[in-house]
Amino acid sequence: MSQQEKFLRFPLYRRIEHWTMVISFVTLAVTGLVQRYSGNPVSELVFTLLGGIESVRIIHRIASIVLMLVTIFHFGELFYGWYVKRGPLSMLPGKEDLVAAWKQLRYNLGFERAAPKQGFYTFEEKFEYWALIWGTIIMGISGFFLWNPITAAKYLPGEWIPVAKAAHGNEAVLAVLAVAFWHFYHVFIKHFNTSMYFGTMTREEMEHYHPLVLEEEPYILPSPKDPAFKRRKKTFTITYGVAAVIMLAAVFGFVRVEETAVESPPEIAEIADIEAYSPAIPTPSPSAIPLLQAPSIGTSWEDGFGDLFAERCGECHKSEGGFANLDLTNYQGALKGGNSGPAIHPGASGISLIIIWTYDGEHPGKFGADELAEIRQWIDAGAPEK
Amino acid sequence: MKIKLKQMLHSKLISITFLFLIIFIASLFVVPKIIVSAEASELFSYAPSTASETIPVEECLSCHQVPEMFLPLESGERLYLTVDPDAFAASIHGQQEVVCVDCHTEFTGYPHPELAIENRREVSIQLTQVCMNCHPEEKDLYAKGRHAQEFVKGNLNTALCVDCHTSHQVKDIRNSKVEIAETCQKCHAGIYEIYHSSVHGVALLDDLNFDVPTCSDCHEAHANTGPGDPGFVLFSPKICESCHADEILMSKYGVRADVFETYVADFHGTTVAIFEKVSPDQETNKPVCIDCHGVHDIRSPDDENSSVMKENLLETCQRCHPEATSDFSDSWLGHYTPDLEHNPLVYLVNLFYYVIIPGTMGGLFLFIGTDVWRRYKDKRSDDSGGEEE
Repeated sequence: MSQQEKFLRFPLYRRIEHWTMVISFVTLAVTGLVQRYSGNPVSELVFTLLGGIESVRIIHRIASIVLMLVTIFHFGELFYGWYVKRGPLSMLPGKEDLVAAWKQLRYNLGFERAAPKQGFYTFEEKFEYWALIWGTIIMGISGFFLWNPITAAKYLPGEWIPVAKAAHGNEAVLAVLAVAFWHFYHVFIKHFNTSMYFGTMTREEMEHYHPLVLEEEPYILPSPKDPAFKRRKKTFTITYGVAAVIMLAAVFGFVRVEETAVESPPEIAEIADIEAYSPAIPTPSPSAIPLLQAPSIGTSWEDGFGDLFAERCGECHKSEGGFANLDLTNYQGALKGGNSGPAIHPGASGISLIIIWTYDGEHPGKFGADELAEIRQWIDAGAPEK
Repeated sequence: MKIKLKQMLHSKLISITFLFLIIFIASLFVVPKIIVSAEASELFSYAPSTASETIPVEECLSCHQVPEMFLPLESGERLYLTVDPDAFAASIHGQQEVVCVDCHTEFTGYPHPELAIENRREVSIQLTQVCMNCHPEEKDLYAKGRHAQEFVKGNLNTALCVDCHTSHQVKDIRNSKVEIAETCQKCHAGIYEIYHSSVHGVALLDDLNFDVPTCSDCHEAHANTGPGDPGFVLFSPKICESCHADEILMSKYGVRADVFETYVADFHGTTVAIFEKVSPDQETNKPVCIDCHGVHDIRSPDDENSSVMKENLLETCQRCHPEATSDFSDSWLGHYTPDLEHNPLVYLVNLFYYVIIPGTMGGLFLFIGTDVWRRYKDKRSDDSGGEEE
């Protein structure tokens, strides 16, 4: 048992291809799903760890380029295997796969004595493969729309861009679920399949999972010296070379066809045009607007002037012990005056001290120009009491 | 004993080092904030002595109600000293019996002390500290705001307390959205004009509709913020959300209340929401509400001048997508949740996957589930078979 016969299942290039795709797929899944479920706390953590949404998007796009390159490689590999090596197209699905799936289900449920015998690729593996092909096509096309929405909108209605976004996100969920359950179940749980690590399977494994391979005529690789093989190889090199260049150019176009949005858009027109500090004219004073126009005082001592003097002057020149012995709270006091003489000379505003004192100088209390003019008018008119 | 002491010293040393480390790290977060407010309050460093005596308002007003009483300043300006007694009595300070010398603490006697100022602005700056003495909360808020930051930079035109509140006619204008707008207009007349042309401005200023935002609803009254502040633009959709996600309020005007939700569901909104959460201080080139709808000139989408009206939308897109052509603007879902009427294709794709994902996974689980069951049965029969043999 120690020296078991080994069957080559995945040559090195296939394994490299698979694991490159794994890295790309996982990266795409992580950086994509966090965008789809951006409100989730786990997503938030991923955003923080990867340096924010913009870098997550860059990583997503780099991973998608890797997937595109793997796809181009895969085309070449398929073409080489089919055309140059004349190998079997063992991944093509057929009626036998439907039969196998049906039988497998019946067997699982106990209606069938034995599990179906399957070939190099089982129906489970074929499902996985074609699901991946379908997914890559959907993701590639919708991804192009999302990466280059302006170009897409030139040829298709604008609504196709949100359509692409919906398809991209939903397809991603389907792909991740399929891999997480279908693929992982079969390669890790049902049977820990090491052929993608070491490339080979034991006879026992082959008998169990791919028995038809053992029954079939083994495929013989054409001799490298065969002139027909050499010729085909040459044709392949030229054809695939040209095709690869075209496909690489397409990838380049995919990446560079448009500049979707400017890095830093110009300022919003309104904000750019307006000066934030544009004071109203005339600029209002912080203080209350000064009383530029006093209301008319009145016609006599009793009709206004008495109240005015009492209010303005009466704080100091009051009845009892008025400043400078002046009492301006009543008419008689005003006529009598104080230390310097009468405050009011009826008929003669020019010599009335109430005018002289307040007109200029150090006297704390003052009247406004309008008030002063009115007081003079009143005095000149004889300073009527009533 | 010696060892114990050494150990103790050692553990103390460690804890002290740790303490310092923690303080140091904490200070990294705390210090910058303190500096900002410290700078602002330092600049308002005029510290008036508290009034030693109370002098009734009437005594001051007996002189200071004289019309056109002013002090000519070196700058050539007039410092008006007139106070309207009725207006002061009606002001919030007058009502609460605040007296002149509570603020003008040095002016308790006559003749008055000399005023060490050259221009009117200096008076406002000096007296700002006086306001802050009694209003420390507003002081702290103000120190965070844009006006204080401008003051720190040396811009003396920036709004001080009295510029908005007046000096002797202070009123509670919290509940008067119109007066708030008119207050800001004093210095931001240009913006006021634009605002007055907007759907919000017309509603407030012409129709006296208080459902709409006035300046301070978006920019805050004291801790005022604006597009220059880090995080403001990223945060701004939430300002709009506070009204536009309110179903009752929006239904009054026939405006849909899911505009915020649908924005966040879209590429632009998703990005902005992530930025807001993960790196609120960074800038993004993805648009927020104001980028498409306008800032102060927001109009109804039915308005022919609206930047988001169908005919004008492409031009709006082109600000960030200069290469965009006519069909590109249709890629925007117009704040609609896709359904058969609006964006039916998107709806159908979602519906397709709504069926296909559970369908496919159900099929796969059928195989996996039955396989597990088969294996379990086989194992049991193997085990029991082994026992029998």
